[in-house]
Amino acid sequence: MAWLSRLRAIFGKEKLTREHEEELQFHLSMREQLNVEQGMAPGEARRDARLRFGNPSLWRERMSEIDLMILPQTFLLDLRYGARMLMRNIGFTIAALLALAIGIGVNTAAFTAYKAFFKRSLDARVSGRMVNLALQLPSDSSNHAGDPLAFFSIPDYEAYRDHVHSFSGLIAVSFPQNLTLTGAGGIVSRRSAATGSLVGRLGLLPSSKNAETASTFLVSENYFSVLGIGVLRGRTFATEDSSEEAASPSALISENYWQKRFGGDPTVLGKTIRLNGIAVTIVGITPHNFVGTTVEAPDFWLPLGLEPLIHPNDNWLRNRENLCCRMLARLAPGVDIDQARAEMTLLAGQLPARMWSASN
Amino acid sequence: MAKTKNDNLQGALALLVLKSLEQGPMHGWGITLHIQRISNEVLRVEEGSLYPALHRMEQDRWIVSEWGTSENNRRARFYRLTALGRKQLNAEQENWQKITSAVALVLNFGNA
Repeated sequence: MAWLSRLRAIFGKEKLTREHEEELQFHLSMREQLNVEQGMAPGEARRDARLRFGNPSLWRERMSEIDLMILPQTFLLDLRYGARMLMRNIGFTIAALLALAIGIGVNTAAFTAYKAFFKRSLDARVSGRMVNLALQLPSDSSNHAGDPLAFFSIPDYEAYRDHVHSFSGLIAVSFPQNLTLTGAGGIVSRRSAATGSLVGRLGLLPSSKNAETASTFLVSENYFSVLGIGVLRGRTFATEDSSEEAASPSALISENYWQKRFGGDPTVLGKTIRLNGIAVTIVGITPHNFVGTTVEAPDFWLPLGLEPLIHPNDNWLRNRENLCCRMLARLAPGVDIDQARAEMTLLAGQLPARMWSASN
Repeated sequence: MAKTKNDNLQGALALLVLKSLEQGPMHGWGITLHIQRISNEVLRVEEGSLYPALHRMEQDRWIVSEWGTSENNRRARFYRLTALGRKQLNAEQENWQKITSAVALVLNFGNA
């Protein structure tokens, strides 16, 4: 337990130093007194006492060194002893380590997820003015009465977008999906890694038949302008006309994927790649780690208008029953959420007869 | 657990201090005088080394200190031997005697 008193010595340093000083003074004056008794002149007696003691600042240094220097030594001993005891009960050690590791891991994951889903504000300029839209099922129609419904079809989205004036902008976002990526050229990082492997040494690169997929996020064309987010390079989608987009489809690449897949190659702008066989041209690069309304930066952002091309058998752009998308809106200046809710409810009631009516 | 692997100079001073304190609590100045007097003025404790040594021994719990009043009515710090210190004293004493008798054997070789 000697290290305990050392710890105390370090933290109670001031008191200790004071006591040392007093002890030093006591010793010096006793020596001086003895010197005088032995016949020395008072001044010389004092000088002699100090001389015998040596340099007091050096002495102070030695005293505090004793507190400081010995501590790591004993700590090391204790540490070694601890490690030996742990090795002796190896089963217990492993169990304890596992319990700690799992506990810490689960905690970290839970808090990370919580932060990502709930505590993070949207990746948007003045994100406090952005609202998430959902309808509430009427209490009389189905057994899901009163449940909120946060998904909308594209035709409904267009109706709300064009007619609700409480919003300065309304966006629709689909779910992230993985599309096969072709025509993108060799992967920078994979090629260099392959040279070390057996395949690489035989002069073979991974064949392009290996399906390469890219995570893709379909968003309405006005996505970036409503969020108020610019691109790192290039431009965002042309917002006005979806049919024009479909004729000459454009895609945005995330900075993260641009770096990972293309090694930050600047010629990627204007490059034409194929996603699920559809040729799209990369027109812009979104900022590093920009996640928008999702929780993880996708590889590509595509305009919603491209959906019929990407999934030719499943045209949900015109299907009012296909609730594909979440809607988020930016409140117009001077409009509060209750006004917007009232206007939404009114319009929802005017839409062609549906299974539900609306609120918020 | 008594340590016996102190380096000689340090060990000798510690041994003398512990032995002095066996007589009862003393302050640093008292220890200085005591050693000097008992050794017939042959051994003189260097003041610059005495207090660091006392401090170290206190941290090792061989001795404890408390403030008291000296013979001339001044506040002074008195050191007292602990049970651990007593054990340490015995071990060091034994060790010292072993060394000195061994040295004596070497020095006396050939004189007989």
